[in-house]
Amino acid sequence: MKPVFTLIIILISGFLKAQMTFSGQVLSTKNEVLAGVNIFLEGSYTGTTSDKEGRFVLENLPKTGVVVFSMIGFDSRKIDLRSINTEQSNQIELKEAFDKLKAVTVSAGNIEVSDEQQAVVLKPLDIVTTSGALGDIIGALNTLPGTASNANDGRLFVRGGSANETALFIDGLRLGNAFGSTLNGIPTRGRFSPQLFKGSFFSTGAYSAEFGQALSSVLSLNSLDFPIRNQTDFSLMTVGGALSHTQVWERQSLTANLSYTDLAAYMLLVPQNIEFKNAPQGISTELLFRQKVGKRGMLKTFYAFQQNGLEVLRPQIDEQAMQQTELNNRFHHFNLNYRQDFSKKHLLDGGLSYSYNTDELQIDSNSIELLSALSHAKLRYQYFANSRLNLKAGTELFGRFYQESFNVASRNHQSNLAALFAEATYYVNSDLVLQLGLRQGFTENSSYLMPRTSIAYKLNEKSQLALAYGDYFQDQSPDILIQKENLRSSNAQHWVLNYQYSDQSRTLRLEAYHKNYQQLLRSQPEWNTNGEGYARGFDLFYRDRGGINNLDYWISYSFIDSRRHWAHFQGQVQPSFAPQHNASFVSKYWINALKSQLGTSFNINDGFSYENPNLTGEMESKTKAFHSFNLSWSYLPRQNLIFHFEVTNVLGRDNVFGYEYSRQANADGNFRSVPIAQAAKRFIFFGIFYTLSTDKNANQLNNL
Amino acid sequence: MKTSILLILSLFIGTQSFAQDQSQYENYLHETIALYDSVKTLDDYQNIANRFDRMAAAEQSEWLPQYYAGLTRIWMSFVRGVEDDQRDEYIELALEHIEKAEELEGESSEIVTLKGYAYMAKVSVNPAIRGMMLSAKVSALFEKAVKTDPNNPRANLMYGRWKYGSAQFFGSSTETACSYMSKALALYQAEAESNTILPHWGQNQAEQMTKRCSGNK
Repeated sequence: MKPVFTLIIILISGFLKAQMTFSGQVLSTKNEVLAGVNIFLEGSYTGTTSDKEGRFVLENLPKTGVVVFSMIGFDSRKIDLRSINTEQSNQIELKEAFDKLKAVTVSAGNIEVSDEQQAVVLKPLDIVTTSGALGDIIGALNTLPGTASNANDGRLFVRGGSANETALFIDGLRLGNAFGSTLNGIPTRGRFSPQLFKGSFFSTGAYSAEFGQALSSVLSLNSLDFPIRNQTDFSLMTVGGALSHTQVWERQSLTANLSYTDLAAYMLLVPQNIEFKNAPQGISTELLFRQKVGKRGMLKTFYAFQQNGLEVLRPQIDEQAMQQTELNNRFHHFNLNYRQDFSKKHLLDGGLSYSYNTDELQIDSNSIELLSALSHAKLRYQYFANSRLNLKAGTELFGRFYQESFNVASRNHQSNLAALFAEATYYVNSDLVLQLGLRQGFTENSSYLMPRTSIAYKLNEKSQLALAYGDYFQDQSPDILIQKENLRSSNAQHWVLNYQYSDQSRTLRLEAYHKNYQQLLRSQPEWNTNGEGYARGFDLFYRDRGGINNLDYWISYSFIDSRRHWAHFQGQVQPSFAPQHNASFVSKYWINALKSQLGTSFNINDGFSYENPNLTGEMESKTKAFHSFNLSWSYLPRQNLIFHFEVTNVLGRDNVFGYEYSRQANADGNFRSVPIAQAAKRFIFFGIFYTLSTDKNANQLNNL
Repeated sequence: MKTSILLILSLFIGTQSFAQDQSQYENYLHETIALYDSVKTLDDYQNIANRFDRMAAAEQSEWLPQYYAGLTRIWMSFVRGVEDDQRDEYIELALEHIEKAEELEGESSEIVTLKGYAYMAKVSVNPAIRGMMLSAKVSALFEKAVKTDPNNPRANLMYGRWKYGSAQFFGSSTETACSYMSKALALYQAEAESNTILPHWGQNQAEQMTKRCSGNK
């Protein structure tokens, strides 16, 4: 009797232990068969993989327990063994997981320069390899849709906006005097080398609530994170030389750059249209320090000092004597940024920046000194509530100081600005995202509320549609406020409609926009803000980096219809910096046998509007079309050695940017004119870049 | 009395299958690693990956299941016919596993080698664009792996393979690359013991690469 009893108990316990069989088929919610699904008893090795038909059989299961169904791209599902039918085949459905990388993106107005995503318009590396850009960030951006290249100016003009409607940021902090000081007609450049940045965000309209004090556009540059090794770079160029060293320790790193520019020798060889008494020359230094804090914190500091000068002798239209102008510029920028991830859910970052710029001008016997300082403090908190909801809030403060001295007289202006912002981004599902933001700006005597909103919908795997609206205010610049206080801020509203298609190698981007301007600055009869205007149009961008072997090219076209009643004008006029038709063709071709990259770019617009006093009306004339065909050749004989040769305006077209007229009519009643021409017909650049590092493969492009 | 002992015993046996002991962990790991030898298709790899995933989920403090789950994904990304998007997905998943292994075991030479291997796979998806951006990172990882343990055959092999690829692309000498690989081969031959659950893959690759190296001379 007893042995029988024991046997029964053993049988029962055996039954308790492993008796069940769970079989069935795994399908997606879209009814597709799912093969390769990992199906297992939670906490054990017992499991199986679904076959090609999605079928599975799990044997020897205990009576209780949980079976997990898991597969990449799908939400895992847990099934209690007590709830299943062991007699027949079970159908298990898995829901597609929400994946931010594959989901729709907030795209209207935005051009992201990054490596993170496949579907970006530009990669950081493109900035240095775009022919005609001469290694300038702005030069490369000027080949993108929404911009109008003003080659004699060099700054960024976006969708009918003037250059000062674009704000530049480094690590989220405002950069004051973002462009090198220059004299009329001699193009400027961005202050910093693209090698200092790992990516950037460029918006041509309807940007998020995080950004303020910019009517038209925002360019936000992200400086390099922690470098990976010690490295020394040398460069020798026709216009100067540079030396850079990066030292990396366990938790700190320091990068120091020093560069010297002098165009004197170059200008002896290449004729200029302007007579230089002293060719442009300058030094530039940058120090970047990074400190890791705790497990996820990072402190970045950045300091730059630049000193530049030039002196020109120019004929004057109404006088016999030449005018002698000398400019000396000094620029300091300090930027401190701290970032702390508290967990994967909370992120706090913020920082301080300070820019200080002085321009000393000597015009014939008059001396003028301009001093401007800008400080910016920002604090931002982000909360990732779940994979679909992200909240962001923050505050910023700006302090501005401006002083101008004319011979012995001097006056100054000081003002403070503040802002609060909050924004929520919510993914309804993988195909639909909403972004709602609000920004409150404060000046010393007014405040304004700026709603910003964006919605994007994914049409299919490769294309999406987006719509965005934003309200923007920008305070008048200190050089105006010094003349008249209490001027209202200018205001703009943006509407942007965007369509984007992208696959592995091609990107097509179409964008239509409408921008309304109010409270634009006018100088007649005295300074006031009763001006208004609009800009509307569309952009087209197509890039293919794989269709033809080793060839990468893009085409960008922007149509801008802009009229403004502003400045000294009586009625609405087309601004001189906003040509109607703007196009760029950029190509890069890698020739393996020659270890070289051949680059070309062709920039064209239909001409700049200008005012001819011999005709009736305002801004009624247009210059001939602007063309520039640029060529570059980069040769990499070894991976750490690069030779770069570049010529702009190869065809030598005599581009004209407008005309200057004499103030008085001559005897016939005509006003004499002089064309505003290029400072030089061509720019020819040759440089050698050499890198020393423990890794022979390192070169000066590897940060990008 | 006897009955109750038997009862307790049988219940004990009954619960045994739930708590994996060390020998079961090692046996299952052995068994799964052995499956690599018979892999023919992507599905076979998926089956192996799933087995390592199950182990990784059950043994939260062991780094090896994470390591092998990552390694399997890297190999899956190299299977012929897998599309680029899918390759990227495998590599991203591999990196997640490698990160977890690193949290458990630290930046050991084996783990850093695997990380370099994952980024190398990433470059191979689109060498023209990613080569310039990621090559410094890959080099730095392999460099670190070799430095941490100069006698790790896998670190030497992968660093050599990486250098070999770059040298070929730039048409420069493959000599240094080959010296790393012949060192790797010597280390593999010394390692000899293939009956371990610790990483021991790569000898075939080392043999092939050194053959290719001597063919070039």
